[in-house]
Amino acid sequence: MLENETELQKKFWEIFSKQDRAKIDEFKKYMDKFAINFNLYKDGNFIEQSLPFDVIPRIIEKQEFNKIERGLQQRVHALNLFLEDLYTDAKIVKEGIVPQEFVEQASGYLKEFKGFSPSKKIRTHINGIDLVKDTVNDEWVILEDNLRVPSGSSYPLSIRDTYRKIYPEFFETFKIEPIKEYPSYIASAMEYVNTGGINVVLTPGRFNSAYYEHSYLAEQVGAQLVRSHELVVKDKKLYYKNYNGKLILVGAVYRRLDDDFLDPKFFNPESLIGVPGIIDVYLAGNVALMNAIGNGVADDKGIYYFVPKMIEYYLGEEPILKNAPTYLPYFKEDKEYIFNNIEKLVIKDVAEAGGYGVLFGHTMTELQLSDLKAVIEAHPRRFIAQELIEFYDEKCYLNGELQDRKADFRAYVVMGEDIKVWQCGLTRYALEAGNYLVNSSQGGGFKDTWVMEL
Amino acid sequence: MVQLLTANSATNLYWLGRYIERINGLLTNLMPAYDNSIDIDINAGKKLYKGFSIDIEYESAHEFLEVAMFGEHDSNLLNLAEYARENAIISRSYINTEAFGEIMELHSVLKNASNSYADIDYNLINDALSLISEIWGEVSKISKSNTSDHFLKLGRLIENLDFHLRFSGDDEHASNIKESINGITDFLISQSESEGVQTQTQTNTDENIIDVLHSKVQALIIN
Repeated sequence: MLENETELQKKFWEIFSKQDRAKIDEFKKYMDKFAINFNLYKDGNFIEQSLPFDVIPRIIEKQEFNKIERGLQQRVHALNLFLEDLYTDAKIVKEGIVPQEFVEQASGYLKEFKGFSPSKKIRTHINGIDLVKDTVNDEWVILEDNLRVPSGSSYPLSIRDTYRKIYPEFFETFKIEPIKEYPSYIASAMEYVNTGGINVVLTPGRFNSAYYEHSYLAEQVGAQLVRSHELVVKDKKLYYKNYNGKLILVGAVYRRLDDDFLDPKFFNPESLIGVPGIIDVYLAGNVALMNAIGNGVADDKGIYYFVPKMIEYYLGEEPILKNAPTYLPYFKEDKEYIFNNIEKLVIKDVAEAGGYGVLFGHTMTELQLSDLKAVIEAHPRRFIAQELIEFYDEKCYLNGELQDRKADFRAYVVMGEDIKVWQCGLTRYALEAGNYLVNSSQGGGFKDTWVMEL
Repeated sequence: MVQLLTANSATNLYWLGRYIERINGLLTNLMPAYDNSIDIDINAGKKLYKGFSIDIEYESAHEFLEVAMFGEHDSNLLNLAEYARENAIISRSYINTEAFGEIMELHSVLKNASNSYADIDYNLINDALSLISEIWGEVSKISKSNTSDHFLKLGRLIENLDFHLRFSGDDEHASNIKESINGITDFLISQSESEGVQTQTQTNTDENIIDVLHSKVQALIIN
């Protein structure tokens, strides 16, 4: 189902329909040339490929986006306060707003970091919040918070650059919010939390799935791209090793690897991509890590349920953006509801990501549903259930014709001295018509997002 | 402030310069050899590749191009373009965006041609050479030379010298290239010393000047 066509969309189609179709090939050629590819391993082989993309942009009116912006600022503010509270006084747990047991069972909760407060008390520096626009209430709904290492921001940057070169007339005609500032948001946040020294982007290396993005962002942000062995820990300080052997103090690290791999001395001892001793430097307050360690507890699919309560608790405000209606089998009442309505719910395994571990009740057989109930009964903390959100499709130009595809939206929110919401984001569409899974790992593509007004 | 650069990036930039210039040198020399092999001397291509210490076999001018460009030998152009592409991906943060795009396209042009021998002709050589001109053009646009540009340039110059020595001998032009290389390495050494870093001493006393210069560059990089 498509949204009702707005005036802006009508104007867009007026111009687009007059364009020479050969420009689409030119667009694709340009994207291939400056590709932000992603890498993957399939059947033991390393494969490098570009993410599918579409030339038709998603259009969000500025006024509508303003509400999204306020809602995201509010949400990220509350999530940061939650993390800071949880790892220090834990008042929200003591007051029973979030059950202690629930926190402790979250795989991303790292109790070893209790009592530590990072530079400027900021933990959620770079965040990717996934939303969809619900067709029933015609409202944007939050599906997921990504507060660890959200990826994907280089795709909108690259497709916008291509758009401006191939179709400049749109940018001459409309007031489309510029997006080039995003790297400067990251640079400012890095400077703000920097403990003294240079800024670096830490990548697992060339064969990581998002290596292209790491190198692209490092260049755009003006930070040095480094692999783990190019960083050296000495006397609880972190140094960058220059080509001539000179050691240069590092003050902030935008790390593109998960907690588990960050320091083999502290986490997974078999990690070859981490920096031995970096946690000691962090705990001594001698470097800022972006994002902070232990954020996984706040973007846990189960903790998601409590975010509206966090907003009320910390900010004394009503949430501007709603969660998708969510039920936790951990609570008896919710479990009963889930078991009575399982055929119309979406069941998610909290340990999975990237579209994996998502089960749609309406596609399962009686026997499968019965088995699923048994697993939920045995492991109530492992699952959440959500009402199936019918979200809007977007028009896509695929295989030479216009087709409708379900599309979500990942918004990027950067927290430094203030909280900035990028006036763009990653619109991802599903590979097949009617499919609800838009993740790139599920074959989905992406398109540009224009926040605009006439 | 002096530009920061990891040892890995410095090494990859140096090799990027070498591979792009090697492709350039090979393609530039291919054109006259191809032309001669059509109706003047069918062995013109074999003689050219002797200069690279590579023995090739072919029976026609077109086959010479196929074998020269994509045959199983150390100067296979697709292999060289793949190495260059990999170097560019690793050191992308230090390369002009346009130049990066041209390197990707050069690889793509050669890859497509290697899959279809019908596409191998003088047009392919011209297209690839144009892309290389654009790459070097983009690189030279930078007004202020950074440390990263010096490593790229060192690679280009050393490869350029190698071609010159193979086909023209150790003449005045070769001396000028050597002088340029020494000028850059001396500058990088003084830059490091001004930062309080003691540089390694080059130990290679090989008679092959290319190996000596290569060792000199390697000595600048502390892994």
